[in-house]
Amino acid sequence: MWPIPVLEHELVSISFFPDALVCSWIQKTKTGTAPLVLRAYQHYPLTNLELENLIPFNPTVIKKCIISFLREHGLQNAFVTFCLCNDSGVMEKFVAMPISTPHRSDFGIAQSSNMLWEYRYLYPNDHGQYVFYVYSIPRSLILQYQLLAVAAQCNLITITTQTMALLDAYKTIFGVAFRRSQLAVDMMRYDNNVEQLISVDALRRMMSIPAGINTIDERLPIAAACGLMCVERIEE
Amino acid sequence: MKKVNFITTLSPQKQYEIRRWFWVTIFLCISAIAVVAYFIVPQVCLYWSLKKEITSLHKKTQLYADATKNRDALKSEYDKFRVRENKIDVYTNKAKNPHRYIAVIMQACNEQVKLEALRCNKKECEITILCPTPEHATVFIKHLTASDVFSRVKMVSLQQDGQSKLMRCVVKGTMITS
Repeated sequence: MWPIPVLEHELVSISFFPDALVCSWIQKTKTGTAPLVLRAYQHYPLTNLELENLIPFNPTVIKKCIISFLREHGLQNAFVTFCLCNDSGVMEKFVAMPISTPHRSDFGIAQSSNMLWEYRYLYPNDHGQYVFYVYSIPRSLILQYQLLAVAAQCNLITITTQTMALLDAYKTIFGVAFRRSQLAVDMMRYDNNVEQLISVDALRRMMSIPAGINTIDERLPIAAACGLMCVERIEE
Repeated sequence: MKKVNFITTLSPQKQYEIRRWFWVTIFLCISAIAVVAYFIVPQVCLYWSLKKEITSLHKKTQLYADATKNRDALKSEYDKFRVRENKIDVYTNKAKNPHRYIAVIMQACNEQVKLEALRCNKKECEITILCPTPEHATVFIKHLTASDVFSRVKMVSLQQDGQSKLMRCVVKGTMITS
């Protein structure tokens, strides 16, 4: 047996929605107008309760979808990220705090060994408060996704939320011009609806998307995949 | 914004580092082995050849020790023989040595003629033989006369032996000294 696994300089993003599984393969490019290019994209509908509340009730079907996508494009050794959409499986909220460096106990979330929760600072609002993104997820759910990755034999490096992936994509679109004050303006404009932050035009400027893909319908998974691709430092 | 990750895994950077470490380690190991082999192998070869040579020399030396022992034994034996031979030579080459006279007499005797007695007194000698017929005695006398160590050989008596059918012949002659 070869002592070290083969590494491929590719990243595959897999987004889990309540009714669908979306696999996308994005590459960095220097030839086109956009810095990224969507090499492959596949939307697998899950209409038979295979994934309910982000709990994989039929992991065999989900595993087959993932494996078929990886095999079809020869990405068995690529890095894989899982992105969990906003659903009842993951609790997310934006909390405004009077201080920018709060303690964990300040959030008033009970400590539990069954739940994993964390917070990230986002922006200061107009009332002089600091808005934090707080998320919590059952550890059992994380374990199920890890087992799914083991079953699919993929090199899983990240499990994150769609909100965080979209925020990363937003930050990447702005690049060095990213300012938290601008994020505050945009977030307050859309009433903290992160899904509205990234427009189709902004996405097209960031990434070359093949003509066969309906960008308006598939905007969120593509934007999330874009954010995951940019936050991971994959060698070219 | 700090990245959100629910799991603790090896980041791609760490995986790349591990892969680099693996290949660098393999490369360094192979290089080290090659360098060590470059210096060690000739010495090992030399060691093996010397060991082989030592083994063969050991074998040869063992044979040499045996041969030396044999040589010493043979030499001592040879020396003893030489001493004996010298003694015999000295005795043989003495002027009064009767060997050559006895040798001529023994040559003159054949299977049917037997030497019974030989008596020497200074240059005179008296030979007593037992022979089946007088002709044998005559032939014996002729042999002695023909030799260069006896002269004036003559038959003194010839008579029938009482116990056997042979004839006892007494021959007298003079020994020629050189």
